[in-house]
Amino acid sequence: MALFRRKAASAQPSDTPAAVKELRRPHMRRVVAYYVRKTLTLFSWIFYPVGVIWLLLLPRDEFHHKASVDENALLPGQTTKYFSSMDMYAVNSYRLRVNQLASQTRSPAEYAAFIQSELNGFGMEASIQNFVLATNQGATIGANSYGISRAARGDGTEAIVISSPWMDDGGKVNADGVGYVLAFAKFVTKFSHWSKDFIFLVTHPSPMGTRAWLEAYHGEQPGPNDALQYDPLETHSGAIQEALNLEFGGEGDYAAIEILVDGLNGQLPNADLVTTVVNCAQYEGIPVALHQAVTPEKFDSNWTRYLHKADILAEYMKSQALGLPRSDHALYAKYHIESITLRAIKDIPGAQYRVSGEQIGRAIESALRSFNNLLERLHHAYWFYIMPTAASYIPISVYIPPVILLSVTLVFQSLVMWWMSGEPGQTAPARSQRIKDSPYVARSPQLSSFNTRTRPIFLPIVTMFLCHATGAFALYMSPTILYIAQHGDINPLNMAACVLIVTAVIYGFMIPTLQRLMEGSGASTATTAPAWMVVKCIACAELGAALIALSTLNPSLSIALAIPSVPAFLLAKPTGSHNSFAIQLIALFLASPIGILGAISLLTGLGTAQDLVRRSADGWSLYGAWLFPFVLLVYWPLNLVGHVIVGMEQ
Amino acid sequence: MRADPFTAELKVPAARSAVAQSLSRPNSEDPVVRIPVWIGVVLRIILFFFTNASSFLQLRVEVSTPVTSWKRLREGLYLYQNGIAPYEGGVFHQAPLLLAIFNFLPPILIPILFIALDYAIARGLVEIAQYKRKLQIAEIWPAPTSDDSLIDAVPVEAPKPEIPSPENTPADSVAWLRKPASDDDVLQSTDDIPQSVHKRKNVNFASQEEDIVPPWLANDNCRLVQGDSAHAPINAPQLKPSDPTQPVDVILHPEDIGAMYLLNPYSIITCLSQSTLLFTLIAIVGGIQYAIKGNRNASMLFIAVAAYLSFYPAMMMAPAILLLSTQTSRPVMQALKSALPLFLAFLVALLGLSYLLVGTWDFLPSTYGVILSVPDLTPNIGLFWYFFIEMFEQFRPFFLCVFQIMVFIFVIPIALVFREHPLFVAYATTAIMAIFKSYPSVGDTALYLAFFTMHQELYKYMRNMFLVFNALFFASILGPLFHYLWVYAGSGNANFYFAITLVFGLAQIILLTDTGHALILREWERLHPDLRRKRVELVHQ
Repeated sequence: MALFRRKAASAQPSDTPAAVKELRRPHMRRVVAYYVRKTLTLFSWIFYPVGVIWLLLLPRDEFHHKASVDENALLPGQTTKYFSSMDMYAVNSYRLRVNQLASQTRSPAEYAAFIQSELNGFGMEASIQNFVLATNQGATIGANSYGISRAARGDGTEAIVISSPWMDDGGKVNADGVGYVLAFAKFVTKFSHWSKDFIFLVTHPSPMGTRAWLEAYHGEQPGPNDALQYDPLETHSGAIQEALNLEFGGEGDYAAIEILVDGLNGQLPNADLVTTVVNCAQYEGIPVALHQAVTPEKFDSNWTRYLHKADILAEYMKSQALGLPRSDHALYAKYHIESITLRAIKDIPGAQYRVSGEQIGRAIESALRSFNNLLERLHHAYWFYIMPTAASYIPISVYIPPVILLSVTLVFQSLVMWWMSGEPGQTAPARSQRIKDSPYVARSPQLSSFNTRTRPIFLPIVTMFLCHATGAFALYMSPTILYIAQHGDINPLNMAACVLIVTAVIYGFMIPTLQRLMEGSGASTATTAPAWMVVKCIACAELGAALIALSTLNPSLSIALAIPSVPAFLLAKPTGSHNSFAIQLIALFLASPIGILGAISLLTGLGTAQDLVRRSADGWSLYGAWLFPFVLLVYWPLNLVGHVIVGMEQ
Repeated sequence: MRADPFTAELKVPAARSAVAQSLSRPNSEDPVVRIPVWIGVVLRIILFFFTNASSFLQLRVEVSTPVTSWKRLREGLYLYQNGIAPYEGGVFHQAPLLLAIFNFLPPILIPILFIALDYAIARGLVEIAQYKRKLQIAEIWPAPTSDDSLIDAVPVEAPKPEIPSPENTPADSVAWLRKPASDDDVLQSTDDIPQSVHKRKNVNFASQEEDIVPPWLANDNCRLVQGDSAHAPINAPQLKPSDPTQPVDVILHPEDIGAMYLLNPYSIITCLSQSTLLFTLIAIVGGIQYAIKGNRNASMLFIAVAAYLSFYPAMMMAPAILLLSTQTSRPVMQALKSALPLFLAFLVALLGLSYLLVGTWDFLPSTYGVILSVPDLTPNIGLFWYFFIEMFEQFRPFFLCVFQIMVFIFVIPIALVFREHPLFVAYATTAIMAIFKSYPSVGDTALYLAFFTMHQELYKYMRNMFLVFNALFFASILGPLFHYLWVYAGSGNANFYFAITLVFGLAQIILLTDTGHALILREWERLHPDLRRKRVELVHQ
């Protein structure tokens, strides 16, 4: 095997400078590796506080970019507006008629027939789509009505949707919103400068109606066993480019307009759409709110400014993290349609004046004109941003580092566990000495070419499998559990808490006990590493990777899950001390889904937490929101793994 | 299975070879070890028949490439069955004989065929692993010529160490390996009285009744170290920590390799997507398997089929010929001279058969032409598509040559350097194909990962295992995610996905170089016992 000897056989080595340099290289590599390893072992937790502090700095103005329109064709607010008091009169009269109709009947078919006849009256192709939603509570019957206004200058390949739910979330009739939709249907037919079709859509009940309509519009058909059954659509237009959803639950007396941007699973529309709508509203002098707060021009102090923006950011992240549909616009993102909801606010603190209906109408008209100008899809601006105010944003380049820093702590922890399980306790490598007249160096005694301990693999695999199987089983059983909760009149929060606590107890005590009964209980021996290190290595790597991957889809959820779970996983290890055992269990409990729900109910009341459980389960079964399966398939099983680690043998 | 001539050839001591035969006897295996393999099969059956995973995965870019996609095969089949030339539409790029297979197959049997193919691949890998196991048992760690104890210091230039520390004293140099004394936690646990009593009882129990060792203890070295030597495996004398410079190797369990293949998520999704890549994989595995048996004709036939199906496996000639020359005790050049005409004859016969089937030579540009000139730039996990989308047209032929030569150019140096380890050459060649071929999919990765798991003795010497497998894990999550962001959500773009395919490729390349380095290092240490025991290493590792 002279092959592997390289220079050894041929040249007589001498201590030339090159040889000395070569000698230094493996040594330096070992020294650097040793110190990197030592530093990471001791200080990798530092990324977590750095990430948290960075997050706390995000509300400061230095991190905000003023929103500006990147797409030149949009030219927001640069057109002449034609929306006049005559059109406002139409809005008001429609509002009265809608209210009147809503007080007379509760049948969605009659509502839809009214909208259809009005849209037909403007010369549009209008029709009705019926749908039925079967749930545990019984069947819900609904109807969408919509009309298509063909653009005078277009070829019918692109369309803009103006939609409105018949009722808002609180069950109040959205009379003004429907009034604006009908008034705009009348308004757009008067002009010939439109180059995209308009689709006027009124859904009831929503947002399920929007889902039925969108699926039918994009050619899907319900399967025979699906909960939602709907008719196909009679008339079509082109590819929908943008969608505006109007929710005006008042009588025309508003203080501000709120924008709702985050859609299903926290997916955002293109920043240009948001900026255009906000700019158009601000040109008309309408205060634009985000999460029910209008940012004033001036603040008393920097501290109040910080608090105000921190408050909005927290609300924003909360809403995005849940990823549940807040209004109709949320469902459009799935079909690559940029959409936004405008919701009127009646009263805000510090409002100087009321917004007139004509201002709102002109703002909407102005936004529609901008979208009408577009020659291609919105693609210039970001899709990844966080909004501290309606008129500014934090781009991905600024907010992603703290998100990654939080999760990368887990990846480093996994690396540390890998090292610790392989080669425990190294000392700083001593310098190797070259052997005279040979190409060899004498290796210092504590170095070896191979890892010194075997990593057990059977127990870790079984543990990971059992925990993930529990999560999958829980997801499979969740409809049944919810059904029992509803029909046994049990609070879903109690039900969830019961299931989660019982399982955590099983996993925290039974699996470690079983492991102790088995041969090869996972304890370390002279030649094998303890199994808990490998379990923790795998669990940290998986959670870290999951949270980093999640940060590209829904950074807020990634933050919300990383903040409690990273310390819990950093702490988790078998211990003999009662105090640290208690601390670890408390940390793991706080990071578990039930701990998070408990924290929510302590902070905002039990009702919020109950509502959250119900909505997230419904969001998964009705709209395909990922929060529920993600928690059950990835997050909660790993939390169980944490419980198992605490109970394992050293 | 032939009697193994190589053990005699390697002059294994008599006592050792007797134990070796008892250990290598496949029938002595507990049927329990086959459970994971059957779990893999049952998992496929459940996923095929009770979920819609198959129809979902058929459309995924990670598993369905233009040259292996089931959807395209159906298109070609439809055209063929309706009397239209199957390559006419420019959609179908697969070998014509595949049409002949599926032409007469009832649809209900198609999933079963793919599951059977995967199972057959796994059985082939198990047979290869049995050979590897025998090699492992027969492996000799030459004894040092002089009985130097480790205490003897080597003559060094400057005897005074720069960092004087108690650990550097020679007496300690053995002790620290016996017991990881420097780590407080570990020390505490091993010396903890109730636990250690409990454990010692278990160890004795295990060593007395060797046959009922549970599988999760199979890799536990504590049993091997502390048990009596009569029941320890073949290289038991070296298992004693008297020579801490020699690694303690666990003998391979062949069924585990089959399980590693069948339970690998990459191979599961490849099977579910009904990718015709499986035909190539089974031909590759069959080629290696028959080369191990010394059956030149069958081996060459299988490799010719693999090369016929997807062109690149022609490279598998290298490990096959190395194996044939080892197994038939002939020089490599002689083996090559006898095998190459056979390979070419089989290949020509297969092409001729294809011509008879479709009646024209049009299939040549539509199959091998597409593989070589890469006209279909549908995104996949490889390195070609993005590069050739971005490239100016006039540079395309040049870079096509560069890329395609790069696939093939590594095989000869690898075969030369590792000629004494043909299975490692097989691993390296399949890995290079999986990384650099024009339309790779995760099925290629699944195959070479199975070969990788056969080389368990190298794990100890590898430096970047954590990095590699974390990167593969990240790429496997982020790849589909970024593809979704790019193609469906519209919020990402092609660079997102391409970056992840680069990570995937980089992780695989690091894995390949790391294993190569580990093999070289291990071989050096094995064959230089004196230098090893004097704790000497090459300056330039």
